[in-house]
Amino acid sequence: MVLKSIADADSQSNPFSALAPEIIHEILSHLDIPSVCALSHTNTFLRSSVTEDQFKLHLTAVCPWFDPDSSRFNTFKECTFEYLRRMSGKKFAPCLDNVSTRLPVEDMGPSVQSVNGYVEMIKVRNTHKFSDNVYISKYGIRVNLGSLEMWSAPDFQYIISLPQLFATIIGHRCTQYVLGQLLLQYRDEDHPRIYDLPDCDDYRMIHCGKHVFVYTIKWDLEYEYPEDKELLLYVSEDGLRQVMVGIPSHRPNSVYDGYFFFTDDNNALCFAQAGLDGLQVIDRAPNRRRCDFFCDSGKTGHMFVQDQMGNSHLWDMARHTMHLIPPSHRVQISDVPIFLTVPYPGIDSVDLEMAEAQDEVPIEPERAPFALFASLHHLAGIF
Amino acid sequence: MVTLVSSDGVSFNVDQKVASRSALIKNMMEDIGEDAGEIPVPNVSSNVLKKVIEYCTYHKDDPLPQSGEDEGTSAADKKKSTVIDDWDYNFLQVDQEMLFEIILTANYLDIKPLLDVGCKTVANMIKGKTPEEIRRTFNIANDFTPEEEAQIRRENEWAEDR
Repeated sequence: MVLKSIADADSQSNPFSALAPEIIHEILSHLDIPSVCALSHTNTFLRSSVTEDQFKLHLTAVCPWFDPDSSRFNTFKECTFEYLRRMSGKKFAPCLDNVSTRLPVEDMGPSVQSVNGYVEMIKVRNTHKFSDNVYISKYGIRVNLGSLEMWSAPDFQYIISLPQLFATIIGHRCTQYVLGQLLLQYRDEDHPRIYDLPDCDDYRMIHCGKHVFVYTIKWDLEYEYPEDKELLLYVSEDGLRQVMVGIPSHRPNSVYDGYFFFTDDNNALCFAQAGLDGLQVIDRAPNRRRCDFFCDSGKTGHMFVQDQMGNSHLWDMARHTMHLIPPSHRVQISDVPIFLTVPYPGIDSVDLEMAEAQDEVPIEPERAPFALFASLHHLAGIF
Repeated sequence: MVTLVSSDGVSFNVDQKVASRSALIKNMMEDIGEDAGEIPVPNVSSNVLKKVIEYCTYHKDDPLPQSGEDEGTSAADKKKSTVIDDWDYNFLQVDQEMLFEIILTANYLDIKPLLDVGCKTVANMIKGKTPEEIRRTFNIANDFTPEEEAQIRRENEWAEDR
């Protein structure tokens, strides 16, 4: 091994150039994100030394849900600089005034092909009728639900089914609060992980891409237990990590592009950028568009938004454009359980009560994905 | 005892326990046996080797790090441990050229604790600084093209008001 000396000619203007890449990476591992970014802006050698992997390593440590797969950014480097920009107090809430008359049907493909989430929830509920309590998720993950203490008599249940993970919250209602257990079954693990959740009044699960979050809701917080806090928890492979100590008016309904969406007391759309280091910043949409309801439309970066006039919009989160959905294709709010993934706007939801009463797996909605896709194409043609 | 010979021909008689702080020299001694004699340390000058031996002598009774001990440690976990103990801190109060030479030598001789504390020292010199302050600290020339400068300005929007 030849040891390059600091006294070498090319090291005179930059002592780092004498260091092996693994030593520079060791130095970087001791730095926080602002320092890593600053170092990458000093000269060309250090700019190339701070690689995409290094940005990924640092951003993942504080904000693992901000990644190119779950955002409009193409690289971890871009995500990292945007994360810093937001955390430094710059405006980051998108302006939703940019109304387009053309539905972005070309972006709807992956979402349209997704399986209706409600059908899977009914199937999970019906699993307790079988002696082995084993459920096979739509992605082929084998889940033994019998290991949940409350599985025999759940009062409510939420699920999120992803290619690499099946997550479900089983809840039991007590007199003054609810108790919940979270079951996580990773594809590559033999047994499920089970966590007892903090008692509260209800739970919410949201996800973006592969990232899953649990929110504990306390309805009477303002009046009876002001010292109690709602919690936003991130489901990491190391367990549940606290993201935010919430307040009722800031309950996140969805997450995309690294930030959480919620409506404030005035029903204005707000955005919260938070990290596992406990830091968070909140920004409001500049035009204060009032939203009564919105839900995640999957990992394609589209969101269904309804304003207070009852008009439905498809929000293209990558382009920050709003697309008015004609009334004939409006999602029926009464049919759609809020906070659950809606595969695409316009689909009719499955009647859960009816299916359960009939003790059978519900039939898929009549409006088949292809039909909706075709109708959206048709609409695009009209506009 | 073992004799380490620097690149400029200076010999240092060192206790085997001290020399064993270097995984590289420890392996060489195990291969050669008791009569290790002189071990050349090419490319490490006498003034740097003297400093490294001083470190190894002070830490000769510390437990040796296990191989692969650091693997899998996340960036977040490492950042929590940037604290440097007093002796090491004072030991590394040297000019920058010497600091980087010590880091290079620690890497070459495979002395993980010294490499670690050296990297932490450099990291502490970078922390909280702007790019311009880092350039001044390490005497780094700004060699960006105008196009790269424009790109950096766009990336650096977060820091404009700092």
